[in-house]
Amino acid sequence: MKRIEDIENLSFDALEKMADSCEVSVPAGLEEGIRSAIIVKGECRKRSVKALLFPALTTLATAIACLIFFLSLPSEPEDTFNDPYQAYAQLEKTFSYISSTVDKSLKLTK
Amino acid sequence: MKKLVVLAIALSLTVSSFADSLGRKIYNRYSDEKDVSAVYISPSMFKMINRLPEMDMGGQNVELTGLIKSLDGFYLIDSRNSSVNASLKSEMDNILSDGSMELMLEAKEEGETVRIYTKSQGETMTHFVLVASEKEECTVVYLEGQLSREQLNAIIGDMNHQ
Repeated sequence: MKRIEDIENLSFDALEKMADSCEVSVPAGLEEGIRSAIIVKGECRKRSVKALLFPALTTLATAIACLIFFLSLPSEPEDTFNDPYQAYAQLEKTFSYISSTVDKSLKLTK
Repeated sequence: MKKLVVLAIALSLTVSSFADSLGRKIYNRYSDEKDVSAVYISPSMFKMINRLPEMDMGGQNVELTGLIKSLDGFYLIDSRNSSVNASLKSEMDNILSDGSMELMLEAKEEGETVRIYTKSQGETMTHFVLVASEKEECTVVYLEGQLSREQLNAIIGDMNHQ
């Protein structure tokens, strides 16, 4: 039985000779086991691609739906007035109109 | 699955936040038509109005000034185009009949109709719509903001107590 130190002190050539002289016994069914493991891994990859496909398609569909929704939103109109005083005057006029319309309507409903 | 639920909730919140842009939709559709006068005041312009000194805003009307400070959207469509009038009136009727807004006032007389709709969150009115239609004219006023009923009533003549 060789100790670790002895093995560490061996040259590469000596190690190579030792490796060539040893008989390596291949366990029965190893090749078949490796093949089936490769097949199983392939199947798993196929399954994971399928599993990723659904969320990916859902995300894509949602993104497209969002894009269509935001594009269909009414765009921001341009301000009618550049001057806040004019805007204020318009608001005053409109509230006066609302007030008179409400007064008139209330008289009608009485 | 959890992600999908979160996404669906986020999407529905986004949709509902944009669903309120009725005024903008109507404004964009009719503002360029012939014989239609249209006014839009943006939230940015409201901010500018609110920065004006009260003296310059005709300080005697303090209630109006307070009300304007609560607004952040204003759309006005006034049409004297008969085809636009019919379309505008029917579109407003369709939109407002879905029950999302409360009918506050309705008056009819010889082809003239006035309807006022409001939408509230608690004691705060968030939307105010006035649709006045007569034979040759149709007017839609659409206000958005955080209006207190008291403020609005003070301006338009205390409707609730009459």
